[in-house]
Amino acid sequence: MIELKNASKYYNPGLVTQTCVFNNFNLKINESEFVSIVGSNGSGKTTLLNIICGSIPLESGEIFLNDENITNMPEYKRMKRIGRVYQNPSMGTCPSLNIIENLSLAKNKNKPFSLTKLVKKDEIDLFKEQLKFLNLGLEDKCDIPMGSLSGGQRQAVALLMSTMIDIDFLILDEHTAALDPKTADVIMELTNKIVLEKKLTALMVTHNLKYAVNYGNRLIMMHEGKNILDLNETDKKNIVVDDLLNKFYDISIEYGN
Amino acid sequence: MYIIYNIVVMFFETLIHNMFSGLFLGIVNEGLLYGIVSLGVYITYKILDFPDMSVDGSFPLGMSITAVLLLNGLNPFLALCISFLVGCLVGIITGVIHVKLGVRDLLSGILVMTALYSINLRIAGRPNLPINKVKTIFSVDVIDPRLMTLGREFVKFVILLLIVIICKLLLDYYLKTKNGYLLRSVGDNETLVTSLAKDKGNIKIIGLAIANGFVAFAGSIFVQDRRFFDISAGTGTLVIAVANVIIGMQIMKRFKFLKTTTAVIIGSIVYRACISIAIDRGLDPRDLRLITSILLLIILMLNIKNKRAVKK
Repeated sequence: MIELKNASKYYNPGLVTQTCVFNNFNLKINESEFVSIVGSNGSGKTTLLNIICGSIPLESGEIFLNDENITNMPEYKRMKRIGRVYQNPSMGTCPSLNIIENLSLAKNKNKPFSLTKLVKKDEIDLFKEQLKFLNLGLEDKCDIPMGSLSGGQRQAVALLMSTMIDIDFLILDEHTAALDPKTADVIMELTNKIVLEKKLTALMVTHNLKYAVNYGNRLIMMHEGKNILDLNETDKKNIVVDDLLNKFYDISIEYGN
Repeated sequence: MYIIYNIVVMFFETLIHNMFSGLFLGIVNEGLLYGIVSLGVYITYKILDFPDMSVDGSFPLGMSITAVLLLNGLNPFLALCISFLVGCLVGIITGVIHVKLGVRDLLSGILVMTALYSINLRIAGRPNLPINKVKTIFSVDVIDPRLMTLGREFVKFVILLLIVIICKLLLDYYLKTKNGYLLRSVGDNETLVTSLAKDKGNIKIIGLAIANGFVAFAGSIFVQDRRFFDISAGTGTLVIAVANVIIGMQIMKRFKFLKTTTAVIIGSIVYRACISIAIDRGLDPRDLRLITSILLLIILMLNIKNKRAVKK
């Protein structure tokens, strides 16, 4: 469970260019909810994710993760219980290491990084099985450095890595945006599979309204730092892409943008 | 046993007298010594992508500490270990200045390097300090006087080779460990390290510590070989080592079976050979550092050009 209480975030505070992203923003995401967040550019979607992960600090307000106040916890400590997949496929993996080494690193998360060998022989077969599950033929490319794989392949591995160990929370930051339509579909389907299988609580920011409607059990539309639409599972079933699109146009007319 | 030992000694005696001239071994020895420096700089420059100027200070630091310790009658091997640890400390200081205090990487190295100049003067007491009659790691005549008949350079070669191999194997092993992989990830993709719930700053500090440890260690060997501490001996350490690392990387491209660490050491020997040949052909040693800088600049330009060609 994750909760934001009266969260306020300004960019360039105290300067002429000060912009308010959130003002007393409240949001509660319950256990095993798969939330899709849509919204126009600058509506605060990515800022929201960055605040939850601790990449950027809050001006005021509090964040709770499973009833623990994590407002002042540094980013790397929060990541113990959070997995994150980025928009840029190269952010989630180490380009000069191969797939097995990358997966081994992910497997060792939350364990001590001691002076014992990282890659264990008996784990390689396990990893290859997981790669087979991706259905991208990666199990035969284990020795190739990550950097020479395609964006889609990297993103698939990044997804696998972020969910390798038990986490409480999965953050998907427009993780299909940089991929071609077909690969995006594959990655999205895979994401859904993993989230359902591991019963993860997930937060997905996307510009793809089709994904927002078809996947997950809650939908939030954001605009200028507010969630102007919050649909639960039953409401969400009755909505189609066009409804969302119309809502977008309504906002544009209403706010003149 | 004794007979076998004698045969081995005789075998090597003939080998050296026939195959190696003193000059050749001298080049290899210098290369091996700077190979250790290059292993350290490989960590910062190549793995961490951190231009660590503090090595220009930790090299003479290893020298000054060892000189004073040996003059006080300490075991030369113990002096090596102490130099390594003090070098690690220097790396930690550079790291803390960069990571915790937020000073830019290059500047934090320069700060430490400059401070070390005074510290080295304080330790040694003066800019030049000869240590003529002390026991060093190269004083094998203590074990068996006959070993010296093998030739000074050859004895040095064996000892240096042993030390370099040990250093290389240790570094190879470390880079295969969980901690070592984390170090490699920091230079490659900092975001990933944060995703792994690890503080990237601390990993950088560890890397800098190991690197400066290696460099101070090499400084300690250097002063035991030369039997002379010189405050200016560290100038250009980073530039030379970076040149060695880059030459090593180029060699590795041709010979793919080589490990990076081996390639770096070979690169260091190749670089030494080039310099020695240049001096032999009439290059004024006073111009050495000028030539080194120009040479490195050319190598860097070629590297950048190559990278651009690949991108296109």
